[in-house]
Amino acid sequence: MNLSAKNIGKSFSGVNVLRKVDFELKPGEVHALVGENGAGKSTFVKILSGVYTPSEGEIYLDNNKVQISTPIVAQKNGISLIHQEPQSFSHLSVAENIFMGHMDGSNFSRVNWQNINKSSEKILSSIGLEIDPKIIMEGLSIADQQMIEIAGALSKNSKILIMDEPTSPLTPNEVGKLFEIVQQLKSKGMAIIFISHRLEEIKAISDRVTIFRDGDLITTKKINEVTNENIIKFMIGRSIEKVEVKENDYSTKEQFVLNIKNLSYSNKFKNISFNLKKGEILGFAGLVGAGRTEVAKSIFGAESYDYGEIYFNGNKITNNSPNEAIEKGFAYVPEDRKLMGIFGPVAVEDNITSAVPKDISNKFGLINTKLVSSKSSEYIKKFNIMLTSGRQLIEELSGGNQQKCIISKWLMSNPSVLILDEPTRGVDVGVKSEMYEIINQLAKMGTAIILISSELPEILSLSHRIIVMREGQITNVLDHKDATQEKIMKFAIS
Amino acid sequence: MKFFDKFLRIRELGIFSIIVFFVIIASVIDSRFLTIDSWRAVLLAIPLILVMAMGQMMVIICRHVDISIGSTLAFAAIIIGLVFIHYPGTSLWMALIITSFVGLIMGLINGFIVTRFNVHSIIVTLGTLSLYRGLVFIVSGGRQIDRNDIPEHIVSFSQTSFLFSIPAILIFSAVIVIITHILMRHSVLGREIYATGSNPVAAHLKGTNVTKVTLFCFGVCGMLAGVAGLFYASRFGYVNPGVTGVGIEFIVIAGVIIGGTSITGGSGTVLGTFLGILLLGIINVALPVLNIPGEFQKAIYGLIIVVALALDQLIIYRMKKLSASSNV
Repeated sequence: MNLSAKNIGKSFSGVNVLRKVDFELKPGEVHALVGENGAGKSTFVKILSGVYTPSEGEIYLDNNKVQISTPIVAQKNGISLIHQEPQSFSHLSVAENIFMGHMDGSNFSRVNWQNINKSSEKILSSIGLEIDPKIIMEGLSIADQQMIEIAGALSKNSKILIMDEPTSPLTPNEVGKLFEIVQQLKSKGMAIIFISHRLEEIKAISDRVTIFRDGDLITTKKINEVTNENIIKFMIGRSIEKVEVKENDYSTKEQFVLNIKNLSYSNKFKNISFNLKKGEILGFAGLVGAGRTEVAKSIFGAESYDYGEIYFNGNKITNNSPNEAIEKGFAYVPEDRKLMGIFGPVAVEDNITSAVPKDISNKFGLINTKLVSSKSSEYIKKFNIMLTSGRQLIEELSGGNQQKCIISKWLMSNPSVLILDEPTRGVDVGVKSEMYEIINQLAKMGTAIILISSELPEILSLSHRIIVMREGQITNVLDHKDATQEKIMKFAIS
Repeated sequence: MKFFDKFLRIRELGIFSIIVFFVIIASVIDSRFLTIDSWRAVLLAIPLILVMAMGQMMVIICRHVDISIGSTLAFAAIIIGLVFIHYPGTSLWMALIITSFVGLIMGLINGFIVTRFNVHSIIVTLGTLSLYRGLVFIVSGGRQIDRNDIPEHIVSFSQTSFLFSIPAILIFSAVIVIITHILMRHSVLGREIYATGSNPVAAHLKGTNVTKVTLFCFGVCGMLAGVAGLFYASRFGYVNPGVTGVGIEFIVIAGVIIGGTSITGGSGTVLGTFLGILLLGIINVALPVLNIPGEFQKAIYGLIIVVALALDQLIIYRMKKLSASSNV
């Protein structure tokens, strides 16, 4: 089946996340979609599979215009989406997982077990999977669950299969098995859209590649006509002028504040080692899911780790809880502000002083409101936080001002190591530059800063050194003098 | 060995072994426990609870809970009591239709609020528990329906029999249990109820109308609570606005959970629920036989729930280990 999308656009509350996308998919081809996080490829496949409805544009299947309003309509039209994390019913049998939603008969008719078990067995063995369709889904590996989801798509006679990063939860062995099946489906005329961050895989499996950037479809190329370097260049786009990194005297310091040696934690990250000096800003670059946040959380004691060592000012330490880490002088500004950073319906003053209860209470342990006001007003002035009064609720402030409050909160405890996880996500340009100013000042005063950010220009204009992570491992460490977006991306994706 | 493995995988094994254990202990202490009379008492005590448990189980499997059933029962019982006062000739079948319809409406109201306004079912049914109870007082004017208001053919429903001297109420509830089993185990809709509870997002993506499925479960739960209202009037011969059905949701939900239905949805069987209710019924009858004072009953119920749940988790763990080793 031929699919063509014309002039597809999508906006969420006025913000364009996808603009004028023209896309074509032919039967029997594997078509890869690549782009940075937020480039629009996920939004696009969600439109094709009926999860989102497009704000503009048309979709044609074999030259017939179709309205794909729900996932069910998409499936009826022969389009199936294989989710990154398999969407399975762990309590039900394999056969039921395959046929749920399209068993024969109406609500009260009897399930034809023999029929669905037999059909399941046939479909499963056609993709080389020897699993008894009668067993319960629970306990099967992610790879098997994924195959069963593919079997579900086949049972619906799907002609177009959309796979959203199917390989990321799989082991190399399992990826090989998946690719065999993809090849086999392709030879039977199935059209496959394949999203992946791993360029090697894209090279190995796809016929054409389409690159997205910032909501635009940049180009579609035959896979043998582009090199990895070309693809990366298309993904990043025009090179943005480099902002000067503010040097300070960190490099003259002898002692490291933090030494991390071979830190590893189950399947999240492996053999992470790095050093951090007083006054240094260490950038962590990589794709979402590369394990950067997980490393930060383990250092901060919010998550555990299996082995490895953490040295703080030369002494070996373990942080069993965030509380212990804070007492030693760590601070962590989390990625998800709403979920982990603020107490929404609570006054700004109380939010700012919430990490240092001892500093604002009297000898009976009761909170002294005068101390709360005076301590917090210092930071409100210093960081130019816009509010009507210190008693205003923090949830009423803009995202940027909230973020300033969170940083104030952590500075109150005078941390020697400050971890910033995506500190400027969702804040406007003005606040962004103010934040950069604050971060630079903190470094100058001697705070060691770990900066996790998915925005390459931000990493490049702030960090003294940059660590690049991919799939839980450090792939490169760059000095800011020779770091470029291309170099970082090359090591962030394979 | 293979047979033994298979046997250990039966989900209801835990609850079944507790029942056997309990019966053995009780009969060793006092052999009166094994008489026909005490078993007759057990079997007469459970139909009302069992019928309600079928509906509650469906609601819990699809990830909700209905704690308003005690008030639903009372409301249906009061309505049918008032009907009997004005039309003493109302047939058993007519009474069944009326009580199920009243219960159905009340269950659907619960389901509607839960699905339409996306409020958690505990909150919704906690509200309607009180709301429906209030309606019972308003409709009845606070007066009790007495024994002489209830026609003889209704009372005899829970005593006489048309088959091997098994009371009609037992046969009737057995039919409901079997229908529920077939519905849940073998119908398309039943499997969709499990799917909805197991993973609502996936169920929606695969084309299950999650709202309809949820409404269906609440509707059936209310309907069966309504039927239980008629059972109550028939068996106890009175309906009291302040007493009828009060606290019954605890026993019903406890029975369902003891029977192995997961409170987080997606799993549970009719057989398990039946055994759960049976266990509670046996305890209920055994306590006086064993000379355990009535004050202990609640505490023992609670203890059994905790023990049963712990044992159940142990069995789940054992099953997981088994299936993990057989997958390698």
